[in-house]
Amino acid sequence: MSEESPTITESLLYLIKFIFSAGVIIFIIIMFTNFRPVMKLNSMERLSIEMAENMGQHSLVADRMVFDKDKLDFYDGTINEPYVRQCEYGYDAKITLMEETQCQANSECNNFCSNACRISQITADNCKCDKVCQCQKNNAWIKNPEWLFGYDRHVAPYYGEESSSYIERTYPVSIRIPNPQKPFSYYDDAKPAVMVLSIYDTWLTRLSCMIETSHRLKKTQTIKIPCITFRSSLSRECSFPLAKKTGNILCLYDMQSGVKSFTNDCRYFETPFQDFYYYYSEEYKEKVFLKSVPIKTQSLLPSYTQLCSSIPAAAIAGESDAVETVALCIEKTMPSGKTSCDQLNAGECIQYGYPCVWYGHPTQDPRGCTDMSVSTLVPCAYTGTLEMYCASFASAVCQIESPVNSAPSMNDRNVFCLKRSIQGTFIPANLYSPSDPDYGTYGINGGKCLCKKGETQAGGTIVYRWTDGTDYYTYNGP
Amino acid sequence: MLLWTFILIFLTLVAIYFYVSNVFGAVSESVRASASLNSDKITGIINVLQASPSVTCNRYALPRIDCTLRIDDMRVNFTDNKNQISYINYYLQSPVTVRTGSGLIEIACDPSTEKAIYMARCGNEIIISESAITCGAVAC
Repeated sequence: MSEESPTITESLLYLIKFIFSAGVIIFIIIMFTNFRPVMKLNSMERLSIEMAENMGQHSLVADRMVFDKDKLDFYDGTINEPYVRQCEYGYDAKITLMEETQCQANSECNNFCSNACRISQITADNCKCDKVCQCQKNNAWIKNPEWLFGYDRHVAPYYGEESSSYIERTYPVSIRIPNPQKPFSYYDDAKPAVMVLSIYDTWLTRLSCMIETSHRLKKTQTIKIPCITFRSSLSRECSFPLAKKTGNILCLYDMQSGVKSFTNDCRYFETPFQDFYYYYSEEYKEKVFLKSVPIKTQSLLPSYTQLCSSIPAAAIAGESDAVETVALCIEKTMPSGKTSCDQLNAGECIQYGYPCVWYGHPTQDPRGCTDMSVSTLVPCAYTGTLEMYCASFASAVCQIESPVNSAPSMNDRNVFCLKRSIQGTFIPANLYSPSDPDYGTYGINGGKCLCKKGETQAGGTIVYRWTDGTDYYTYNGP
Repeated sequence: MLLWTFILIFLTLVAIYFYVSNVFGAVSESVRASASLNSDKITGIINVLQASPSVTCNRYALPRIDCTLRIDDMRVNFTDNKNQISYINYYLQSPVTVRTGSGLIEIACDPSTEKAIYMARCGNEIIISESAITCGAVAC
């Protein structure tokens, strides 16, 4: 008896049945696979609406959503966030009058110019009629009066590595501008306008909020340290400089030849705090913690505070104390069983955020780590990829605030850093001679230590320039 | 063949039914218990109350989970104790002050009964309490 082979139709049907069954089984498996819902809260959009609602309600206005011109004049051009503000996010508001003032002669524009541009001495150079009135404000001719105030983030010379976010929304508002011809009448004095409200979430706003929270709630706040990279620096360098520019204006800054060069990332900030700077390699970001500590007695703080361990417990404010100032500091942890960074091996140095220290020749093994404390004297002579730490030690030396009366000695860390050839061969300091091309590359200028910094130009040429050590040397070695 | 097809379609519909009900249940549960959402919503209510006329009241029902709500002079902190997730939101600072009694309101949610938080704009301040608020002579 011979077995009948299936026909083509039967084979085809079988194939379809098989594919269909397999599809159903796969579908069921996919359906029961784990899933994780993710919610998008649009917090900034919602905050913008709530902020606008509050701005249109509180002291800036003559009535609900009708802004008072005199109050807008008072805050115009400032970085204040008046009456309503949010700790974590900064904002700026630009309020523009929508209607233009029709005219036929310059003399008809006097009122417009004094209101829109606040010009006291009106001339043809600052106030004119060109079908509509125009006046000069901040070196630009404007037809629609506008007021701008709030967090100064409109020009950013650098950006944080973690992207800052911002949103912008427009709201219809009015501005009450009293009519001088009818001083006792409220008719026709509310002019239509638009308010462009921008909300910013940047490192400066977050850091200022962290300090403010410590001050108001008397509690230490902690974040993982971010990396704010200046455009002018080479890659792999993070800097963290925060200070008050003047009065209550808090800014990030860069160091140019030992002088603070403030950026335009500034926020109005009334909370007292200790200026802070910290330089570190990119690979250590997110591995150390930045803390803001409420201080009850500023005089108990050491003259230079960078590590949290250097803040005496007696200086820290408790719940019943008045907070005199807020100090920022860095906190690091240690692997269990180890108490000093000298006990860490190279892998642990990286893991726990302690720069490794190499002594002598680059082929030698690393012997330990350092906490980068200013008071820690660590010979720095490595010519490999972690060479930037030499410069950071130099930075520490060069940031001595009191005047230095003599040249740094040959054993100073900054001098050590300079004692290497551009080929990467380490030259011990005591072998340095006047015939070496870099001889004398350290000195004193204006009471500050100076050393020479090499920068690799296009084509591989290394150009040296004087630096006070507050920026890094990132030569990567041989 | 036809029978097979009907069986498979039936099984698929049954599976879809169970899948959809499970998914919706899980999503609504995770939304309800979400620390970020609860913190965000309470912060939003405080912000809106600051721009509201006096005697504007709100009652916010806390989820029936193991959670803790803390409101201090600056922020709202909602913690999902079971999953150890905490979320902090700062509310707006305006001329309308937020009164939190001794500087901190702390409410532990109860998985067995529904608890609520009461918020009201009374004059130039916002009162936050675990019990119903009387704003001047007006009960919310």
